[in-house]
Amino acid sequence: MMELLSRPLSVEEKQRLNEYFLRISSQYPEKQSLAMPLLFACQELLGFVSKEAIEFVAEKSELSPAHVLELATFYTMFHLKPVGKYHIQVCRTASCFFCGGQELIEFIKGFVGKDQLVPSDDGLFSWELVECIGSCGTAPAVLINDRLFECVTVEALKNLLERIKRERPELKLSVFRDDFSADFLDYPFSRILKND
Amino acid sequence: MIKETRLLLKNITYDDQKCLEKYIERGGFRGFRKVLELSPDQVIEHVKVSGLRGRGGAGFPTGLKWSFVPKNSGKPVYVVCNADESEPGTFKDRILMERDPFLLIEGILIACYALGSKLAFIYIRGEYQYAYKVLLDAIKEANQSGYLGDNILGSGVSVNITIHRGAGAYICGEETALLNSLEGKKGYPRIKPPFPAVKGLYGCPTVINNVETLCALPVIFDMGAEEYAKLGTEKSKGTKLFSVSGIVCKPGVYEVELGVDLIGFINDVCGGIIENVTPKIVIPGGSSVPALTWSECEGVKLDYESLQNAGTMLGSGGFMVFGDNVSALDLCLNFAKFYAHESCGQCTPCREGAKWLVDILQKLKNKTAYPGDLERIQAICSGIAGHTICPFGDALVTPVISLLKKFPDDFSIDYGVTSVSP
Repeated sequence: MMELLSRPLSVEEKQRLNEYFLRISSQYPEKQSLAMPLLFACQELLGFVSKEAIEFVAEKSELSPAHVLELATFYTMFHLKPVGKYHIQVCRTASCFFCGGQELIEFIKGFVGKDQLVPSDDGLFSWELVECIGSCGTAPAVLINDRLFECVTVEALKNLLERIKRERPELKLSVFRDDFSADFLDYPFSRILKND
Repeated sequence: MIKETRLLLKNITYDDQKCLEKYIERGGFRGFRKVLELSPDQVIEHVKVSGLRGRGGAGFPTGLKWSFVPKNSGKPVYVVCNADESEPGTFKDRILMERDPFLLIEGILIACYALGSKLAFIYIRGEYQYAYKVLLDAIKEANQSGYLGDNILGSGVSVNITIHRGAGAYICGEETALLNSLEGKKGYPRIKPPFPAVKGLYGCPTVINNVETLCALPVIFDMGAEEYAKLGTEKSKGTKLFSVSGIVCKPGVYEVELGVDLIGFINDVCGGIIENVTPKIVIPGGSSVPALTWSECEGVKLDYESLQNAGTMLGSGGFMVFGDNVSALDLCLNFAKFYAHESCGQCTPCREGAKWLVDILQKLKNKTAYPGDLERIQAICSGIAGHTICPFGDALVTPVISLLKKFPDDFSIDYGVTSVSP
């Protein structure tokens, strides 16, 4: 059995999760389908999926903790350990890789200075190589938390990361909130359709 | 001169297309209103007449797929939109969802009406957070305005849409893996039969269609199935979206009639090849289809049959062009790593074989391969293809075999004389 990190859910966190549970449970005919949305919700609150989170999700979705753990390990977007406040996912698949992605990967590696999924010493950044993120026409691309940045050069990324360090934006979409956080849209989107 | 034929992308450039009011102003829900005048069986018949084929990769006729759903099984029927777009080189569905979310919602409504489904799911890949949020907002607005929910537009038809996020598994684009994932399980593909049309989500009849397929429905019913069928070729009707990337001047998402000339498409629509680069490899339908050499592209048309005759496939329309600065070995290794990472691990040949291929290709790259390794690659590929539950195994050997066969020089194991001793 793999070692899971302990991080109990506070009363307030449990309350928010319960509200979310009630909101989404009417959308599915069967409880087991709630496991993945609930894992996402726990991860948003805790920064990772803890032992207690697994137990909570198992209880709510009427599955065994072992089953929920299986989900948390099978799906790569769930983290069983904390990552940086800004998790950089850089695409390593062909269109990005051969259009400047290689240099980008080298730069990010050096910038964070840690192995994949390990937070930098100040806890701000972590990085991960990911497969095609559907931005091949605007390669190379990186995701920082939930925000996609396209046509990224080393220079542009350097500036972007400096700006993030300074401004500490959220760059996340919340399952508990309906709106985008202001900073999410504040950071410039690149052109979506190059042909226009 | 080849031009785009924008049907699904007609309103893609409007930034306010995400507002329901604007969507309706530009002709939105006209298709669905026409559908309401038909019986569900007539709707299926129209889809058959349109010649629409699945745009996710397999190209199976949509109307036929729908007709496999048993009538009066006593169980609910589910419509599932496959928005788990992750085929390398493909990004058309993301653009559709981010820019024109109501088109997808209208398409789902039409499918639900035809199949008698009251609950539809959109399974969207976890990385598409922005598209997810845009769709959530659109679903909310449609619910508030009576275009979703109970008794839509006073027609007595009720449809709800649940949007479900994946969490980083390419395999969930395979329809039965997707269903398992939606049921709160690992994304392991299921053995077929039973097919999802008979026993799918929660054991109930289920139809799974790609985003682009569903988005074509409002267009088809608005313009008329016969009119739509006049576009394209005899067997490949209508238009297709291509996600173009690589060494063309204007990469992006383009919509053309099926059957246009491949080279003409690159030159006229995609702005041609960028300066000072010689085109070398064209992959017309995502990483899972065989690669073409540039000279093989001459005279090839972009439709299901022509591409098949040329030894490749239309696939998802993930159209990648690479130049002579890219070694076929590097590309092959890149794809092999992708498949090794994304193999779900259920079938041994795929799980183990994918890793072995990466190991050997990496050795070739490091110039530490052994004599016989090229033959070993072939042997491993024949051990994988056809020996797995889902098509992932076939998909993973396809780029390896085609690149190896077509660019043998890039895979040379002859390192020359490295040490000479008398």
